[in-house]
Amino acid sequence: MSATTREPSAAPTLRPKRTHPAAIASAVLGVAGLTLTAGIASPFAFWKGRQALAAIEADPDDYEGRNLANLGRVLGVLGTVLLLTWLVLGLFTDTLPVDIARVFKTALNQALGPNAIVFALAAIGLNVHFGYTGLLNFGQAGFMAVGAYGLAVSVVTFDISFWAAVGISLLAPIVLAILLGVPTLRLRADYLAIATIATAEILRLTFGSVEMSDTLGGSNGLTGYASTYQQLNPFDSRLDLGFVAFSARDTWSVLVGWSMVAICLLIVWALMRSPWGRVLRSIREDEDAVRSLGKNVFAYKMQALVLGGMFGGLAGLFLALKQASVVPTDYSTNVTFFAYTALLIGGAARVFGPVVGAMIFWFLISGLGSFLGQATSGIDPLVPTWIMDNTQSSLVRFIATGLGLMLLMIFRPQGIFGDRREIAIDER
Amino acid sequence: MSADTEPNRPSAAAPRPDLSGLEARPGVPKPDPIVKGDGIRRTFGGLAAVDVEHIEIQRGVITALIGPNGAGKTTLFNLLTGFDMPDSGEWSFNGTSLQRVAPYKVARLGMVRTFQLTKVLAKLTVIENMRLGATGQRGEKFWSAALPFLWRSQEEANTRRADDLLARFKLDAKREDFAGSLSGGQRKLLEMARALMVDPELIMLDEPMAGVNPALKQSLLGHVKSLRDEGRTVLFVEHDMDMVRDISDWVIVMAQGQIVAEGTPSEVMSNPAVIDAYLGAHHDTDLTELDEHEIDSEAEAELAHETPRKADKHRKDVP
Repeated sequence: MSATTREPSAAPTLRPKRTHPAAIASAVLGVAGLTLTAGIASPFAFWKGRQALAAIEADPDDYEGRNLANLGRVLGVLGTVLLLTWLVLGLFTDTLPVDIARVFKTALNQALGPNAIVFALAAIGLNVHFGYTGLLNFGQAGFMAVGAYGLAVSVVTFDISFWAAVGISLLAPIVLAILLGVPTLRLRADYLAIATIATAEILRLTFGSVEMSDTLGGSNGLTGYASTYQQLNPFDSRLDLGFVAFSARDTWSVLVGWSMVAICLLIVWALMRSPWGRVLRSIREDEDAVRSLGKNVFAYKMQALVLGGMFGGLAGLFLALKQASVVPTDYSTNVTFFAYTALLIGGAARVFGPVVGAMIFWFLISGLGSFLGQATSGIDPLVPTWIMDNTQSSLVRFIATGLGLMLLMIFRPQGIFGDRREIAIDER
Repeated sequence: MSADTEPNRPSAAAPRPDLSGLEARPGVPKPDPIVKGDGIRRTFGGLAAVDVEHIEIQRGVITALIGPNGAGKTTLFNLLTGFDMPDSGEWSFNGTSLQRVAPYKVARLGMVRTFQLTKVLAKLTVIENMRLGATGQRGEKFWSAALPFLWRSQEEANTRRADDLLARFKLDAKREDFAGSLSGGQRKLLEMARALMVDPELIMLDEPMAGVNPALKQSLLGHVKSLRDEGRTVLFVEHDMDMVRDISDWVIVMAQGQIVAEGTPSEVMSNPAVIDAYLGAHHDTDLTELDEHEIDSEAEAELAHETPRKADKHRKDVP
């Protein structure tokens, strides 16, 4: 066959055209913008649509999906108009049955309040486990539970002094980490995940069991151990800064909680910049390589498991202190997964990632909850009841959060603080 | 490199041992062995992957370990360095028994290996990969890690040593890049340089030439030779016969888990058993010069010869 008979332009057509991913994203965001997210996703739909069109224009042989991108763009414009309309109406007039200022205040209150602190502490622990060392701990709720029950059971059932009980509460997660780590850390990562999730469930069911309710409080939990903590509260009146407001008790908890977060962050920062942190990150990449260089991988994994578990225990201790009661349902598996969500939003293996992630997570959850709650209540609700009623609205916020997390993973897998180049290495 | 940064390296002044007078038979005792092993056996199911009666690695020379695919070379590496457990057998490094010794302790004793599939730490930079290799780091202990003044000076010394090695392996331009962005050949180089950060007495390279381009191969050969010249012992697995011929002082041939031949490169390459088991009759001719039909008929004849031999399941008939 001679060279002249070969069709030079045949090569590109061999590859089938594919729809540009940004076009799909744009359409999905456009639809989501007009429905679930009440316009918040729409500007992004418009932006992605433009991106997709440009990419298709530049490479028409490889990509298709022009219509989809246009659809996303149009829906994005409509949604953005909707977003601006309700923002203006809500903030500056009384015509909307939704008080936007109140939505923001609720959201901000939660983002800075005790709930966010609990998840920030738990996520800092997961960051040490998963983000830096690559240990898949799905049982952070278990570490929280032993931290909380370590305090409550010691004071209520065994009548130990408050400060000694705090000591026990700090020690309990260390013991749990060692018990979990000795059999599982020599095995592959998946085994740790299974063992931790099972342990967390065993702990929750044990703490809530009828048989041991004399000691552990059963499903009603335990109360009446936090009086020392409450008496230390120097605040006697409500704190109102305009954009946030806390009760006197919450103000004390916020002060204690953020101080704990700050100390934990300082510890993580100091450790992870050291050669010790370098060994952990190396273990995350390849255990055998680290072994071949003369490092005792098992010992490092154990240290990481204990350290992260202690942060988890602190989260439980703080939760027990701030609400003055421990209930087994507070330590269910979804607490672990919310903490993972917070970590991934902020960016794993970044010092501030889990804290910012927890704040954003609570801002979105409670902001959406407040907005949807107001939008579905009253005689003539903003959202008609055939779309959703008031009881459904509290679940829809989790659907929207889940959708948001999916989009985050698709478009910014490294989280807010992550380094895109680091993620790109995996794509090679 | 200056002597103070390489503390426990044996003196480079010692003359290289001459192995040419040694008897060329499997398991021959060496004048000054650094590794000695006896009866090392590892089975996977019914298959004996490694079944070595006696092995000795001479100190201060380059020993090549060759053999066909599945001969048990990498498994032997894994067993010697503690990454795998044998069914039976004992072996020692510098007189220290290494039975049931964890891989990290083997490395600390001065016996460091690289991997056939390179294991660089992708999301760490090249220089961080190198720093990790240094041993005895104070900053790697949990309690002193948070106090930089305890480890800063040591870290700086390690970084200087790492930079020297990077320059030697021509990786200094990649210093701040993520190791995951390196090419296959550069990863091989980085892995070798990182292993040297441990300052090993014996360095074990698993297929250092696989996937390395010819130009880089030449400089890699130089690096391996320079390791010997500074007094280290090198043991490597390789399929590249040029490398084996060029730089090794002693060759060990494995087939079906056993050592089938030993000797200097020229002895081994003319050994009919080795040619049979591994090299092939035409190993020193260019493939294009050969007559295809002739090879086919030869192969058929060999197969006809092979079948009855396999039936009696007696494997030790390989000389």
